[in-house]
Formats: sequence, structure tokens, C-alpha cells
Amino acid sequence: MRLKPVALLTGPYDWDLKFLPLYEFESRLQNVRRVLVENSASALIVHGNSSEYGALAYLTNFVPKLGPAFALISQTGPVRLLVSGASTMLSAAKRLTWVEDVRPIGDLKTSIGAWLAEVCAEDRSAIGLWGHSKLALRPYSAIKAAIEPRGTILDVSVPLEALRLHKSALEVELSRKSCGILQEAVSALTRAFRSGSGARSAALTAEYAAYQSGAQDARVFVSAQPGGPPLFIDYADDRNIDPLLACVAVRFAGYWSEGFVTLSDSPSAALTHAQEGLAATLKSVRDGATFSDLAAIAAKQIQPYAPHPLVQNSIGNSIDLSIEEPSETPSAPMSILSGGIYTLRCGVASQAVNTSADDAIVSAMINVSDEHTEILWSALYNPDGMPQ
Amino acid sequence: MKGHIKSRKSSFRPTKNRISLLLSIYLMDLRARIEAVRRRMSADGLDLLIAASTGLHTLDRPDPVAYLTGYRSVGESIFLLHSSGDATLIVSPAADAERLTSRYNASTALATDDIVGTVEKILTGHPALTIGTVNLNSLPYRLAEQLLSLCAAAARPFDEILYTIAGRKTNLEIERARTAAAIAEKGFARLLQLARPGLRECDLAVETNAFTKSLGAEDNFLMLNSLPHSHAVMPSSTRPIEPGDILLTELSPNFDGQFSQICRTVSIGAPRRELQEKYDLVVRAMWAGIEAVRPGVPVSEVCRAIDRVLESAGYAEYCRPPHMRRRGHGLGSGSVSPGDISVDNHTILEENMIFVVHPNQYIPQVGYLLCGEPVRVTATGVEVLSSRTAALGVVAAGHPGFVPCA
Repeated sequence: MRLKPVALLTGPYDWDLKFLPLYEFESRLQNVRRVLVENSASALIVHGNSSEYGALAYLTNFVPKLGPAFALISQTGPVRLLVSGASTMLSAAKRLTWVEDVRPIGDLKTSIGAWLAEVCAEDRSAIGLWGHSKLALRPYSAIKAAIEPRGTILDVSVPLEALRLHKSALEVELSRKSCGILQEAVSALTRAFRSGSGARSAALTAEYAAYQSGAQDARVFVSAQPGGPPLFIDYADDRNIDPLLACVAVRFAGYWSEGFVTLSDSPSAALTHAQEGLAATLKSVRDGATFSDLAAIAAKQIQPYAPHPLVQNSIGNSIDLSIEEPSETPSAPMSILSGGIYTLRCGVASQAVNTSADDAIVSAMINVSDEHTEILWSALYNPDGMPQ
Repeated sequence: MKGHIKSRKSSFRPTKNRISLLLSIYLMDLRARIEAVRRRMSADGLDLLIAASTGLHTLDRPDPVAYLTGYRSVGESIFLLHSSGDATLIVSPAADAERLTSRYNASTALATDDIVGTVEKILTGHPALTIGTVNLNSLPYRLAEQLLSLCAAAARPFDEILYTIAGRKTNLEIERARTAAAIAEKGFARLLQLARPGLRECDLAVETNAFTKSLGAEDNFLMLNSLPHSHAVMPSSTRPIEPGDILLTELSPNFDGQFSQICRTVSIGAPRRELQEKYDLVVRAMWAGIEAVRPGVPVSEVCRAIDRVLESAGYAEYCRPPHMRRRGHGLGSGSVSPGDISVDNHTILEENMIFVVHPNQYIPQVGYLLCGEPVRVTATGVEVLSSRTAALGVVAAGHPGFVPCA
């Protein structure tokens, strides 16, 4: 689910080695450097901004709050971090990372040029670039201008993203904690809905519950009309909405979890079908299963309903430090891989024209291993009527 | 306070009838804004304007799509404005379709996950257009390069021109700025209730944010840090507040797309006399700046008025970077005109421009101090949009949870 960027992140983002010890980053850095060698890259520039920082946080724990940031990785030397904001604000930036060499970006072309002169002895080096899906044109042009006199830019996203797909034991544990917070938020949303709160109030209650449970970030999208798709809340209106479709996203120690739920005070055939579709999908999860396979299983199970337009092209994705991992496309089918953590969704839409009051979306978070699939969180209801 | 300074009189939240009336006026204002842009396009020989948004709406970065359409997208968006007046709003992601339909009806509008393909279809058959672009540099570079490739060599930047055409806020934007300022003030009152030694900066920021959202804010650019001696205001960290700290905060709620901002300083513990004296100085400097605001005055003069007070108190060297960068700024999220309140900004102030005046000054004896108020340029002077202006806040003995220094 695509989230709207916020003006400024405010939760607890400082590097906490009790959750992510230094050895975790050293191990990641070692693997990244191995991939650089395999791809004949002399060094690596990793970009992040407040909208997308997965690669940057993976290596440095740094989450940019005020503008873009760049990690500069050489084959052997210390990591350097260039951050937005004035030099007088560096003390706040340094708390966010284990990296010791943190500097203001200054003039990006000059800063990168000076670093390249230090770390790349050879001319015509290939300099890797990662985390650049949201890199803006202006800084990209500066990076290009800094690199091209002495080498070329090499996109190393594909081999480096592959490293992130396989989660360490520590990452799995952090995702479990994130899903625990997700459950707190969904429970708060459900209680608020059942007690008659308006949609906006219920969403804010869920966000607050997530923060109270330790979340760094919490976003809740809800229907703006009965059965409507979950939307970004940009209004003060606080109507009761039933059915209420919600997408709840929370982040703990960098790790996102996401949950779709459908709440109604009336029995809902759509919700029953969506849950049956999700349950069938979960039973079919295994190493190597493609998202297309899973979508076909869900589509068969939910008949006579149609797949909900919001999820029909994005039944699931890998989720970790990024909530918005690439979804499956016809040219690049994606598979479930052992060692990965995924969000899986099932949504149904009424075939009737111009009505969404009979729509529903539910989802689950899973940890896939060779032995079994662990359900980290799901919107399949327990006997108390709460998602579990 | 000088005679040309007006205090704000708005109610906290406008009535539904008033909102409806303002909405009608707003749409007329937007049409007038677009007509002004079209006239300038015609004068510059442009056939088409491509305005771009990243989906990030914050207080001091302009968003030309929000400025021209009033719509704030979740992801990247493009507004195509032809010199004929035909216009198309293209937003991403496709999942935003329902919100788009319910919020925007002024021109053709599409929600898509393929912005480039959609723009390409619209431009097909018009290869010889002369095109102006705004904010393309902020887009992800691959998207920007693809869009530029559709324009061939005919595109030229229109950024500098766009906001100078109509830098004034509409009546509805002004009403929203007043509401946002009222929310900021209530947020600060709540912050004073909650702040106490032992509470982490980030927890105070989250609580304050949640409170301002409960009052109707859509978002809040909330800087908050607490140290015995700061060199800047910064995003909140996990550091616990301690007795003897000076807590700095910029509260900047966004109400319905319009940001406002107040800047405040709080002494954790009874303030030293020196702190109170220096804070009074910074507040005097702020009022000197506010009193300089009126139509026809260059922005640089507002900055100089603040500087003069601080320079005469012996702090001239601290009126330059890295200690000071700007004395305020425009308030988005459409236009951020008149820009930064700095000595090199020669923009002439016009009626209904909105910005924050904040000296936000480093004083070596006590550290960084914040005070700032949002203002509107009136026909003859200035209106301060906040109702309770900056004074040194104190969280001290007697406050719930306060623990004095050992």
C-alpha cells in the first residue's frame, strides 16, 4: 500500500543497539561489499529520503527526516554518511546511525567528487548506485556529474535487493514485534468502530495505540464511504462508516507490518468470501509459489465476487524496511521465497454496478521458511471477533 | 504593538455554511490563478505547462499541482495546462481514484500507476508544443527524464515565474491558515501540560502530534528538541527531557492543505534571569520584524529589522550562517511565496501573502532560542494569525512529575 509522505517523522528513530546490534550491520556490509566485487563496482552510493529509505536503513540504520541522505561505501574504508540539514543539526543526525563519519551534504557534486578521489584510485571505475527509486532529478544530476569524469554509474539494485529478501533471525524477531504492534492498533480500531466512533476518530485511535505500543510510525487509511477503499485521511469529517475498510501500517525498529481489515456491525458475505480467499491463499504458500498462482487460487475461492481493484494487481509483496516493495508485473513475476517475510491480501468487490457497500479486503503477514509458514498476523477472526 | 498590526479574530473552526461559501470563492480564486498563469504562458509563447508534485506536502516546499488545482496527491502527480485552458490532472497511485473523484472536479482527472504512459497519450498528436515545466527536478529522476523525453528539446523551466504570478493566498487558504494557527496554539498548550523531566523528546512530539490531529490537523511539521544548550532546533530524538533543559519547538500543523507555524521556547525548571533577558531580546527582535511587514516592503527589510535589534545588542556575528540562515519563510503547501525571510530576498510583499516571522537566534550565553508567529500581509500592514504570541514557557516545580536537579 502506498503511503503518503509525512511532513516530518517524529517517532523513536535513534539507533538502538539492543534491537539492531553493530554485528548485524557489519554482516550486511560484508555481503554488500562481496556483491560489489562480483559486479566489478569500486564503490557504492546508497540513497534514501523520508519516503523511501529501505536500502539506506539496511546499511546504516539512518532514516532521513529533513531531506535526502547518501551513504558512501568504499571497498575497505569507513562508511561516510551525507545528510540534509545544517551543520548545527548534526548531533540529531548522529543519533540515528552507527556510522561515525556523518557530514552535511553541502554541495553534493563536490562532496561526492572529494570522496571518490579518496577511495577510487583507478580511473574509469564503476560506481554502484542503490536505493535510487525515489532519487530526485537534481541530486541524481549532481551524482552523475561527480562520477562521470572518472567512471560510470552502475545500477546494482537487483543483486543488492536480493540480499534484503532473505531475513536474518534478528529481522524476523523485529517483524514479529512489529506485527504485535499491528495487532494492538487493529484491536484499537475495532474497539473504536464497535463503540460508534467516526471513521477518522477510529483511525486516529489506532495510530495512537500503535505509538503507545512502541511504533516509530503508524498510518491508518480508512473508507470515506461505506465499503469504499481505504484512503488517506485529508478531511476533518468524522462520519460513522459501515462497512469500514482499513489499511493499518506500523513500523517498529525500522520494520514495517501491514494489515487490511473490514469491519461491519452486520453479517457480511463479502467479508466471509475475502477471508475464505485469504485462508486458501495462506494454505498454498510455499517456497517458489508465484503471486500469480496465489491470485488465481484466491480468485477461484471468492466467486461469485470479483477481485477488489485495489489488490487485484498487488496480492502481496515482500515487506521489511520498505513497505512498498516492487509488486509483481507481467514482465517480472515474483515468487514467494523461503526466508522471506510477506504481506498477502485478498479483496472482493461486488459484481453489481456502482456499489461498494458489499466490498471487503483482508490480509496477513507471513514468515516463510523451508519447514513451514508462520502467520505473523492475520485478519482471519478469532472467537472474540478480533483479527488475530 | 504598532497601529498597523491586527490581531486575529477568527473562530477556531469555521461553520459549514462559511466553509461552503469559502469553497465557492476558492474555486473562483483557483480559476483566476489559472487565468493569470495562462496569460503569462501566452506572453511567453508557451503552449503547455507541465506542473509536477512528489506527493510530499510540507511547510516550506512549493507544490505547483496543489497550487493550481487544490488537490494534494498521495504519490507523484502531474497537472497539464494548455494555453487554450484545457487541463488534465494525473495523480498516482491508481488506488487514489476515489479520493480524486470526491475532491476534484475542476478539469479532467485521472488516477494511474503509469504517469508517463498517460501523459504520452495526451501529448500524442501535439509534437510541436512549446512546453514549460515546473518542479520536474523534484520528481524521481527516471520519471522526470521520461517526462522530459516526451517534451523533446522544447521544454523550458517555468518555476521562477509561476509563483510570482500570484503569490497571494486565496481567502480559503487564509481561513485555513488561521485554523492551523489556532490548532498550533492549542497544541503548544497541551505540550506545556505534558512536558516533564524523564519524558523522551519523541514521546512528547508524538503526543502533541496526536493531539493536533484530534483537532483536525492533517499533518504537522513538528520540530522538538531539549538540551541545556542547543545550537539549532532539530527533529525529536529519544533523549529524555532533563531539568535545566531549554526545550525548543516549531509547531506547524497543516489544516486542509495549509500550513501555519508558531515557534516557542520552554525552560525546564525555573529560568535563569539571563535566559529570560535573552528571550525578551529575541521576542523584541521578532516584533521589530513583524512591525516592518506591510505591502510594498521588500522581504529583506523584515530580516534587517530583526537583525538590527540583535546587532545592537552585540550579536552581529550570530546573525549569519551557521548560526542563522533565515528569519522565517513562506507557508505551503501550494505556493511558499514570499520565500525565505532573508537579506538576499528582494520579493516585494503583497496583500494576503502569508509567512512566519521567526528570529530563531543562537545566543552564546544561553544557546538557541525560538519565537515566531504566522502573519498575513493586510492592505495597510500586518495581521498576526496567532492569538497568544511568544513568551518563555516554564515547566517547573509544582508541575506534575517535575523532578528538580539534585
